[in-house]
Amino acid sequence: MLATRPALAQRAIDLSGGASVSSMGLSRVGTTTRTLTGPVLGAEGRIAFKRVELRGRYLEGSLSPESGAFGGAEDLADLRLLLGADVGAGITLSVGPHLRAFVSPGGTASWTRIEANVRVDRTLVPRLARAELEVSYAVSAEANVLGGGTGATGANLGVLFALPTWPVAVRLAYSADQATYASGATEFLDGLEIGLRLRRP
Amino acid sequence: MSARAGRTSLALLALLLSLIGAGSLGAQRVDPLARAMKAYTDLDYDVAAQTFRTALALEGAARLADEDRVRALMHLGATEVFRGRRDAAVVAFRSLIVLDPRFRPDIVVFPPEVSTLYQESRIGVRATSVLVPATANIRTVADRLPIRIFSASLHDVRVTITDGLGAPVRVMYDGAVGDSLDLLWNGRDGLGRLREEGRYKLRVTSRSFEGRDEREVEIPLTLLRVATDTLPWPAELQQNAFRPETLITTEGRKYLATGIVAAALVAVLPAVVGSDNEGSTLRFGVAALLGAGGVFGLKRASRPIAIAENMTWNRERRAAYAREIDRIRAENDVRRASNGLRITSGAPVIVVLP
Repeated sequence: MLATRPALAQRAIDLSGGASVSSMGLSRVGTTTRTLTGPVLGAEGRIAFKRVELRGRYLEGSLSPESGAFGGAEDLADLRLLLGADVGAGITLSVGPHLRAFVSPGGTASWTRIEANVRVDRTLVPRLARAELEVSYAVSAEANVLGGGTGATGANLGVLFALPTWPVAVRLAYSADQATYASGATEFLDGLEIGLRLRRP
Repeated sequence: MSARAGRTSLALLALLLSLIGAGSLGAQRVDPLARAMKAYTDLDYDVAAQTFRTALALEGAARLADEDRVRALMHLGATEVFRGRRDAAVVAFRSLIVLDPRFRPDIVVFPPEVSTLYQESRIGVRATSVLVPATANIRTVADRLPIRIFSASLHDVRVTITDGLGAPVRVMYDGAVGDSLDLLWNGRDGLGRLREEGRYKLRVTSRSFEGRDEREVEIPLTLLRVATDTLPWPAELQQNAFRPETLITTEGRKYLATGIVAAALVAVLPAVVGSDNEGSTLRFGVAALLGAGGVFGLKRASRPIAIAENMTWNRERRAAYAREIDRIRAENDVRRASNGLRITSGAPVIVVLP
């Protein structure tokens, strides 16, 4: 997102958006271990006014059991909204709701979290690439299965290629998210994401 | 104060007041038609007619100014109407019409029989008056000397510009004029060439229906070449007018550190979020990319980095400067080619042709 900073400095309201495709894997470890993988499509948007920003991201995809595993496929739907502030030095602090649902023929497992988020942007190659690190911590995590949720932590780290004169940036990132149920079960979701970001020229 | 001193002061005061009074009287204009006008208002028309004619006959320094001649002729005509001498009135009115074709009697001052006879007297009087500004500047091809011609009655008029010797330079108009005619002269001859400096004449010739030249109004024109100001060149573009086209950064090590730390973080990200899961091995590709990016950032920081948008901005700035130079050069070429003229006009002279 920092690739858009020069434009942000010139304009009162900065708009950007993007789309991504991920190859995600879900590993749920409890009394049994269940692993699913599959493609996930995503869309994201950002509106910023001076140092304040509102970001949103939606992911949806179908995860299928790896060969040999039992059980059916699950559909993933994930929505996150973050209201944040740029505190300088390339650091943005945000907070917002994070909703996630795994829909299967047997029912829907859903998460409702309030997450605190820290994003750090650093130049990797001047005027060409930036490194983006994002860490989320759930200050509140609720789940409707396995006795409810007790906590969740997530991180996303990637590289953003963006030429200053181009309105399009390419992003490659790896994300990982671990959630814990009250029953002691864990749910680990990770994946590789390739995306495009567009900003208002 | 003694009585004698008081008398002396009073005498000085009286002398001073008398001097001031004399000065005030001397500043007032003496009306050369005062006697004639008094006789006219006293209805002593014989004396008025004689006195107006005497005033109109004055020549040399005593010659009446044009506005006084107009007034004298109008009142002489009216006087002759009141004396029952219609022909003499027409002669006076026609002299007035020749002198000033635009003149119209004031219907509040003069009775209808006088105004009517005046209007009738205009018929057949082939005379014009010509108005041109005292000075006109011909700087561009669009500049002109405006010429306005007023006609006493419908008749043929030829308007020409001649040089000082009378040779025709340009025929501006040749045809009938009913009331007025507006013309524009651009300081050029019939072939479109800008005339040289010198003395010229604007001639407005009134012609009879048979084509005979009867009367002419001549206005002397003086043409003076005026060096046209050219536009100055714009100030040279200074170095600080441009944006830097390259970026030299000294933070190469920081980029390298960012790449290495980010690569390491990606490699251990599952553990960072508290998972025992190995995670996707694809993340090592991202880690490699981040590490390579850091190395590339270090290398790139050691040499100037072109700033494309600044180069574009500077290029447009230079192009705009070049366009401005071209515009000024073209404008100055036009201005030098036009070499402006200043046309000064003199007082009109009425010539009755034989």
